[in-house]
Amino acid sequence: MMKAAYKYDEELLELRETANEEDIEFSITLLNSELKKRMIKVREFFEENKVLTDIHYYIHPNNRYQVIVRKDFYNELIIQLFRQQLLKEITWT
Amino acid sequence: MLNFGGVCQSGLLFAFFNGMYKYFGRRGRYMSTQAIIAIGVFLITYAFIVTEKIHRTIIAMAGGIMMVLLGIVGQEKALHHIDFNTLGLLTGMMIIVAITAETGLFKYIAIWAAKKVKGDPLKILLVLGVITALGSAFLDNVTTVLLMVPVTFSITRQLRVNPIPFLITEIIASNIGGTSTLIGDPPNIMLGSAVKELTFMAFINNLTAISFFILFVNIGILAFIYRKQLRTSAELKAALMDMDEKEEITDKTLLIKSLIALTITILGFFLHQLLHIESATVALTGAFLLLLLTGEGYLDKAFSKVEWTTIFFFIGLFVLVSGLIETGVISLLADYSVHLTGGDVASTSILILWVSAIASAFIDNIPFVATMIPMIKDMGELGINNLEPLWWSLSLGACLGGNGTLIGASANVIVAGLAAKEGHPITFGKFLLISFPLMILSIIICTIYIYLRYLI
Repeated sequence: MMKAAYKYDEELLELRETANEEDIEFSITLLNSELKKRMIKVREFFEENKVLTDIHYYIHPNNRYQVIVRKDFYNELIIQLFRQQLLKEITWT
Repeated sequence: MLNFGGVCQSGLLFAFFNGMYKYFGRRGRYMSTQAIIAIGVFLITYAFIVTEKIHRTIIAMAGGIMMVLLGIVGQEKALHHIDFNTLGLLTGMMIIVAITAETGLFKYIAIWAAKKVKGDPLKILLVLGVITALGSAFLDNVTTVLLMVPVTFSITRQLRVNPIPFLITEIIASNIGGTSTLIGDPPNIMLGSAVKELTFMAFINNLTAISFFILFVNIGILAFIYRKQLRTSAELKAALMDMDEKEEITDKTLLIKSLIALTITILGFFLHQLLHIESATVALTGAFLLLLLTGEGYLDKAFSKVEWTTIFFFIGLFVLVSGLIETGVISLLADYSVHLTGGDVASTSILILWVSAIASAFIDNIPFVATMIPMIKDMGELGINNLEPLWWSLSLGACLGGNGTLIGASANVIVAGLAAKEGHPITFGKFLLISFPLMILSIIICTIYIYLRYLI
């Protein structure tokens, strides 16, 4: 399967990705509170489907979001982050 | 999959009707042709419901319609037998929950509670069990578990612990919590609606304490059984403790409106006897007050969340059972049951408790209770003066019996289905090994309670 690479605006957010055995963990810190609505929209997208364990979404203080995504939903998550303009670019190589 | 438990229950039901037929035949009392047809329609419908080959709503409605088409009960009479109090109560509560769930309140409560116990998985199992029971006491069991399961997966993933012990605990807690109030479980809603004396406060006074005692016994045993699986690292606990539950509240204005409506509704349930209003009026007042406060923007969404299949299942059942009532079958059943127990209140109560529990472990308790209510009423006319222990035995047996097997209650089936879909299957055997002994223990506790409180 092709590997996704993405870019984001470092002035808007900090993003760290860690691969676990069964899933991938994102730590996203929003540097601008205005972006919170976009993160909520990403969450709503996954809540509307019938899968409960596609992503786990944890809200921490200081606009930090911990998102654990199942490997089969990884592409969907980054597409949704892109759709909400939290990512600037995605490429699959 | 063929439901063997259900098939056995249908066979037993047939044997019971057969025994009853022979008993009355020996006494020169024969059933009318209409009564025999009504029993036939009832048994065929029941068999289809328990085998789960076709959706239970379609079958119940088909059975009810057959009763009318075959002239066993007229349309006007059939409509009179539909208990609109039960239907109104269910619809009202479903609307309130649908809107309140939008606020994030239930996620907030679960995370807040998990943090209060410092992220300790064993203690989280206990608090999620208690929250589920409390939720089920005031909301429909299926709704409660549907609200609890996603947040359970979320918390257990954060702590990297197996979610199955939590899910099993929530199933068991939801059925026990539902037993504790008039509005907690459909059998109680039906009982409260059919018997004037069984008010909301009567349920609180008679069932709440014993239900919560049984809950703590069950959760305590479950915590002991699963204690070795409920361990996590200090680092993962710290990550959970760092969560900000306040951010889960997505719409504060809606939350305030929902809490106002919920408070008025629950207060209304406590006072409905004093105010001389039925529980359905209370629930529908709360629901439409909330819709008045929120505006029509929520109308379509709230109505789409009402489980119309459940509502029509009830309608079909009420008409189906009306066929047995109108043809005198229920009276004969009561007469035969009184003959079996010699009309003794103690033995009749204990028999109802255990038969209800075992039956509810394998079949849907709603049609069972729908049949039992008119039967117990008739027992009153046949000389059993004190019906109170019989009603509480029916409620305890029918509600707690649902914990006996994975197919015993709707909440069990829903949680098992969700768990399997998410890669954590709860098998019939695995659940049975844990739940059936717990159910038997619960019914033993109930037997002692019924005996000590009502029979000596």
